[in-house]
Amino acid sequence: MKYIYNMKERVNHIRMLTMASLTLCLMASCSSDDDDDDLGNWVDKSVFDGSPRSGSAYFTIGNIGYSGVGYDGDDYLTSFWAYNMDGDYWSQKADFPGTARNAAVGFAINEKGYIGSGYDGLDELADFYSYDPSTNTWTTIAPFPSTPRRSAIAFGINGYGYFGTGFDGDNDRKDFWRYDPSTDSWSELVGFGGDKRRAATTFTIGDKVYMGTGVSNGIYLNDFWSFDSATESWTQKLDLDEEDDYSIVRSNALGFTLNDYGYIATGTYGGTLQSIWEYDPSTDTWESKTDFERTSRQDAVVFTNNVRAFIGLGRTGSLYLDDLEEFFPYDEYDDED
Amino acid sequence: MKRILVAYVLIALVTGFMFLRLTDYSFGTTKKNIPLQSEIFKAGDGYGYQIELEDKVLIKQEYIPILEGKRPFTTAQDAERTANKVISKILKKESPILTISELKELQIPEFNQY
Repeated sequence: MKYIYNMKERVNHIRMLTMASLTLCLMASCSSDDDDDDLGNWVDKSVFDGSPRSGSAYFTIGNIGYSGVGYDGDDYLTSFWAYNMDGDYWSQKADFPGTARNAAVGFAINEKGYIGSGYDGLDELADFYSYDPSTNTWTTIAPFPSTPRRSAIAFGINGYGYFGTGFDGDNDRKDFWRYDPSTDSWSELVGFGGDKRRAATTFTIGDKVYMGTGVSNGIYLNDFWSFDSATESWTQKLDLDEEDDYSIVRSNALGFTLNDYGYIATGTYGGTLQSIWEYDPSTDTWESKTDFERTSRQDAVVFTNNVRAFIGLGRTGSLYLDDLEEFFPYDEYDDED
Repeated sequence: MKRILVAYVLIALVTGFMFLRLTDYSFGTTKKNIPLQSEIFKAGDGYGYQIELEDKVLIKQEYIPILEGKRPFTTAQDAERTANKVISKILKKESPILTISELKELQIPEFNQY
């Protein structure tokens, strides 16, 4: 009799567990079928990808994303990786030749990538290097002639590199410079009317580069600018808190372009953020998309060629992440993938 | 008596089933049996490797990591030792970054000069 009692108890137990898990399943499916959800879906791309690091510099050339240097929590790094978007795999490339660092900038001009500036744990840096994917080699280029700095922004467009803002160790900066690869020289640009800042972000749509976010003296900046690459002039756009339901203001965010829309994703505002906002340049308006699926992050990387976008490698507090996800802005959210 | 026998059989079945589930579960979590494997391939006048998780390529190395230029491994054995090192690092939850000292340790001849 004792055994039968035990058995009954067990059967009951199993029945209860089954009921509980069924209930959970039902609840889960109800919540994910919510029609009010933002559009945009994330698909997990790699089990492992590159290395867990933060403050890496990155750029995309064709269908290959490149990411290098950074800080893994113990060491500043020099390793440099390439992510093949079509094959969804990584390769370790030639080491970055400068001092190990994080908070450097990366940008591409035509078929070459550039990494420079940053922080080596002691000092802000001004040296720059170019990477040629066709030969897997690095070349030292003219160092940035003004104040060394970290957490600056840079972008390549129209055959030039542009570099500006950032933190020089004492102050945030607002100056912008142009790098000309044909003469290997830097020259200062005038006309940026925004405030000094660090950890801002940019994205490029056609021949215009959009710049915003960032922080200075603990104040998150809400101004938003477009840079016309043909005239090298800046135009102020509507503020990032123009509408009451906007929550775009942040620092250490990612900026990228997909199908001629701009995106500002992840970053930090008080705490780290998962949210992602889509910019429509024709109306100068923003729309919220599905939050980044994984742990919220700052100092991540993004590879984008305007057709596909992959986000990964950031940090949440002291936890370094090493996953990468592809963003599909017009798919309904699906938490099964 | 017959009833007790039936009960015994049922208990045996239930506990056996639960035991199976339990061991299955603990195998999955404690052993972390990640099906990683390496594949060595001919690349130019030398060899490269790829690290695969089941059928998915995670890392493809047509050239020796760290070094500038596009130099494949001289021998298939060099490529294989390096690939196995990467797998062991991933299994230990370490970053798969290879360093100069590790490649020296693996006796990859290209790193002798370092």
